[in-house]
Amino acid sequence: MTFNLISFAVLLLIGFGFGQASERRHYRSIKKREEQLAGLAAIASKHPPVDRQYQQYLVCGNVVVASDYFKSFLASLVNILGGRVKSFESLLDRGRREALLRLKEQALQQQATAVFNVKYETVRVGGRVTTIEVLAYGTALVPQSN
Amino acid sequence: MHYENRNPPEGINTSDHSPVREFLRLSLSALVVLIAVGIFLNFSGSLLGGLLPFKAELWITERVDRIMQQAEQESPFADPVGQGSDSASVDPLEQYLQSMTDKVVAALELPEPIVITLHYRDDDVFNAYATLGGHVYLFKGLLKHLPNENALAMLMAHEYSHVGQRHPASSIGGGITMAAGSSLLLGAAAFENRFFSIASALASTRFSRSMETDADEAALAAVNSIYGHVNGADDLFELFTGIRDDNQLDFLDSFFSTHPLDDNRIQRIEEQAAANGWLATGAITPLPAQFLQWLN
Amino acid sequence: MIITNLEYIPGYTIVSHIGLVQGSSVRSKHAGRDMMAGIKSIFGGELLGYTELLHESREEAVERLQQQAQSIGADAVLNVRFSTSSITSGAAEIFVYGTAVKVNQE
Repeated sequence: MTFNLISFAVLLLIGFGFGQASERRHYRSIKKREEQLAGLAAIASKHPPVDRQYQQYLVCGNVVVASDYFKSFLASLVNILGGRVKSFESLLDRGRREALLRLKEQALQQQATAVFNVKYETVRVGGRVTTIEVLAYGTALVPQSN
Repeated sequence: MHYENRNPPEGINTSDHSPVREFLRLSLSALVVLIAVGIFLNFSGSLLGGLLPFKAELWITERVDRIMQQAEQESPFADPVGQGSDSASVDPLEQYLQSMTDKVVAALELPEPIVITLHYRDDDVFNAYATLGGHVYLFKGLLKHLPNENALAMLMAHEYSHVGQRHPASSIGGGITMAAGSSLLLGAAAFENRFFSIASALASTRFSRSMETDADEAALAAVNSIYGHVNGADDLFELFTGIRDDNQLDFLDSFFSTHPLDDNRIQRIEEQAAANGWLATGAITPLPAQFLQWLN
Repeated sequence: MIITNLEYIPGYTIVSHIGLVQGSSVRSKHAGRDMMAGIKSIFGGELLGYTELLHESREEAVERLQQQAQSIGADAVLNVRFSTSSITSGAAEIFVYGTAVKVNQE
């Protein structure tokens, strides 16, 4: 009993400490790269401009992120009491933004000027600690040189 | 047409919250809810279990016994004291335990359908317990430490009172409803079973403790009616204290243990004896001289 | 604020596309509701508790989408898509996203 309690508390503490630190680090990197890539538009519309010829590439960005032991425990408590699962909101937010950034990075490598018809897929990839995969995909438009 | 990506401000899709405060709020309220539900389930289960007729308990244990023997497994209900297969060489220890049992059962005035079936276990475990169908188990590890017959009578009377008050059926009933209820309620939610087991242990301990207290009370009355005084009954709990100190059980184990603390029990039986005007002094009856030899 | 899953808005011209906006909401029902839903699911039929839960979440997600669009100065959100994913057992996430645009009335 005592051993169980102690190992549980240690896992919670580790999850809390490392989870918070890695989230802060991730957000910092996300914000920096979002600024850098702000010039490349990625939108959900399906109709590309018809003013000139474009080459099209399917681009995608995916990321698998795990919440931490602490957050997953909080979520399981919310499951008993009901309500908004605040501890997973940032997990999903980070996943979406990271996936879109990777999509944009891929599009930039192709010298694209815009990405159209962006779609997201989110799936839970099992594990005791909640882990999700976010996939963002869309069509990158590269202006033809002629 | 102009295309650009403007970045919306932070904090729209995430709620600003302090994780630590959230943790405290959630775990406290979850604990309260779980304990309340646990107490309710345990209570209703105990009530239902207690309503089960004793005949049904007997039926269950007899069936288990038969199934175990058919499967050539060692049945926990086989080989009771006083019903040895070879009646010519009845073991003196069994004879003695059976005669003590008869005395204690008579003093407890157990209601009609209830029968005690005593089992002696040649095992060094420091333990004694009662289960369904009036089956009571005494272990060598506990018997060899007993200082006198009065303590043995207290021990027997305590276990037999559990049977008389239908505690095994109640606690098994409570356990079954708790298990069924928690798997229904938390089946989907049980992320961290340790947390829930703490909550359910806290909820179930209270009932068992009150059962122990009830059994102590009935047992002390029986000891008084056998010997005319209650001297020596508390030796049993003194013994527990000594063994516990030797083993140095840690704080949490004693906190979650189903038995009330030994000092409290001693105090409680002293109060009970004083309130009823029972004698606290009197001649201690020793155990038979060969008792220890019989055990070994 | 116009929110639509069309590519254009009749009667308006789109001046500029100003970004991808999104709203999300993760919610769960309390264990009692989960239990009732579990029992109900044996018999089949609509699980009202969960219908309600997902409906509330969707409303909140759309509201957050709208907030994001407003904050970057959009007049409308086009091509809106919903997606639902189960994040843990008992909790579902509703995600909604679309293109934020500036429009002029014709």
